Amino acid sequence: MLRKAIPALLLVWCALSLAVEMGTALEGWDLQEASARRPAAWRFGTPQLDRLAACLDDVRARVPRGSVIAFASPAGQDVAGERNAFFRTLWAAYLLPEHDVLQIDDPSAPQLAEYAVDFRVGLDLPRLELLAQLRGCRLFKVR
Amino acid sequence: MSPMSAPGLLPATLAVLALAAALVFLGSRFSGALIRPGDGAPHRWVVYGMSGALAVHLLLMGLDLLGVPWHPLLVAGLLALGIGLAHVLPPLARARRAVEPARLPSDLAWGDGLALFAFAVFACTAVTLWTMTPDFIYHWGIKGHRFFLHRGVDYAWLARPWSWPLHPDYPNLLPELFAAGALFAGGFEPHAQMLWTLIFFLAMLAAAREALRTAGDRWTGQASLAILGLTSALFGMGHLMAGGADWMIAAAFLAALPALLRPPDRAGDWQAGLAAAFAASSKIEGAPFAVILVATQLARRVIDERRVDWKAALRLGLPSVAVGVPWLLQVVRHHLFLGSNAGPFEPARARVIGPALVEALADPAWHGLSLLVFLGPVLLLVRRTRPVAWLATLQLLFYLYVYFTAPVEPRGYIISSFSRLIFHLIPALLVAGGIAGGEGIAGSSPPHPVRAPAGS
Repeated sequence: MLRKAIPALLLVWCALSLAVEMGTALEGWDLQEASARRPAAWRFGTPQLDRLAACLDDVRARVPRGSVIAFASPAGQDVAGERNAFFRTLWAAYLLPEHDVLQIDDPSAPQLAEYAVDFRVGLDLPRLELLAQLRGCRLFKVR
Repeated sequence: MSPMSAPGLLPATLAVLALAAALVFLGSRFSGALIRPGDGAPHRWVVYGMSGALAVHLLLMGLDLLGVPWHPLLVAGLLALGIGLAHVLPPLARARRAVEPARLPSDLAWGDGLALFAFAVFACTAVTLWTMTPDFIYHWGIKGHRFFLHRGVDYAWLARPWSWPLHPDYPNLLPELFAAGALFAGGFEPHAQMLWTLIFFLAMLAAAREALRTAGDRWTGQASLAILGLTSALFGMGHLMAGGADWMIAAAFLAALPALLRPPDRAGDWQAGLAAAFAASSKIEGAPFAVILVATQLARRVIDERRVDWKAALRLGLPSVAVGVPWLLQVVRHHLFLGSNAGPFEPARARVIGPALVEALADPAWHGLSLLVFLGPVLLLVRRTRPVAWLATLQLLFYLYVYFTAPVEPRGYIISSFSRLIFHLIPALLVAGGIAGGEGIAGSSPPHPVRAPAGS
């Protein structure tokens, strides 16, 4: 009896838990366009990600394949802000797989970066030459 | 929203499905060695698929070592050549003819239905990318896309100092499967790449079903299969697991279960050896898993026969060595090994590790089912499930060892990884628990009656 009761209870618990996860997934799906998320939690369809993708589509059209691109996005003054900038860069790297994308404050960036993307930071550095104002960002050539 | 020119969902989907079918067909050419009379058709497909995937992994690693780009026609031609050669080679053909044809399962029941329902629910959320793991962006997906564009593993890119979030030292089977699918489709389409996760999920269910066929009680077997399907689906949805490689280790463990649950035999050695190699090709955590699995099955042989059977050792170890050596060569050659992988053992970390493990086990995505990982030590008490429990417990101890040694802040490391890592173990433990429950507790049951045929 006990040997059947334990799996039966576990089965009911699993079924209820799956129902909860289904509900959560559907709720999140319905709210995806309204939700503001940290970059670490972005999903396809997140409005913030759509804005980044539009910018990078423009970058792709202007930068030769295989270029090293330094990516700058708002980092704020705290650890959370730095994490957000880090994850935005990882998304940028995913969306530009034909290029090498690194964070603008990476130690290798001054030596290796050929282009820089300014995603709502307001970069003003002497080695950067503005190439184009794109959708939601600016593209620079590194001199 | 996919970067570059996406090929369209239909061609990309067809390419993944055709590639998966080709892997199974390639593996089936070796059925004479890999399959035991009586193995069910779904389990055969799992074994064939794993061996086909490993063959493609070896092929692509070979092309990389030779510096030959992965042109789709070349890869397709070499695959066809491999299938053709395996088909006509007399020893393989003879052995294949000797294996009785597989029959499709005719005993589907309520447990299968519930498991497939859970699978279907998860599938809907996976192919829409809603439950896609963030690691698809930071690790698996970007690697697959990059390798597709590069027509090979781009070691120079992996070796870039800023590429550390990509886990450059990981084995590349999953990104290679992504890239190969994209090669045949003509572009990288993330929705279609999620099909690999669904294939691994189905492989888990098929392998579990095979193991549960031998459970003493049919009701318990069906319940265990349903619980496995529901648990995998709910955790896959709650923890966002689609597109990652953790399914592969979970599937490898389950694929080894039938061999671990019966007395050692020749086909079981191959099946365990291939499962070990598949795990070792999937993630870096799969390497210790492979070592423990091979050692466990070999130890069973030695205990049973009171001697070391070197041929069995070869069958068990050769697949892992074949995929492990080229991987290690490339890691060393390109200096890809991350310093964060190893460090001195620091017992003082226990103060942090204990509470962090409790926190990780309380991950809401598990709905309390994470506690099933403790089935490992419990199932050591049951004679038949002891090899499975031993493997799961040692792998769990390995994860704990890493937390004591990795030179990173342990709490964050544990919170971000432990609840995902135990997904490698819980599915197999659930199945082993179902078998133990169906047969009786404390080793009172006789050894599994299905013995290998003579000569094995």
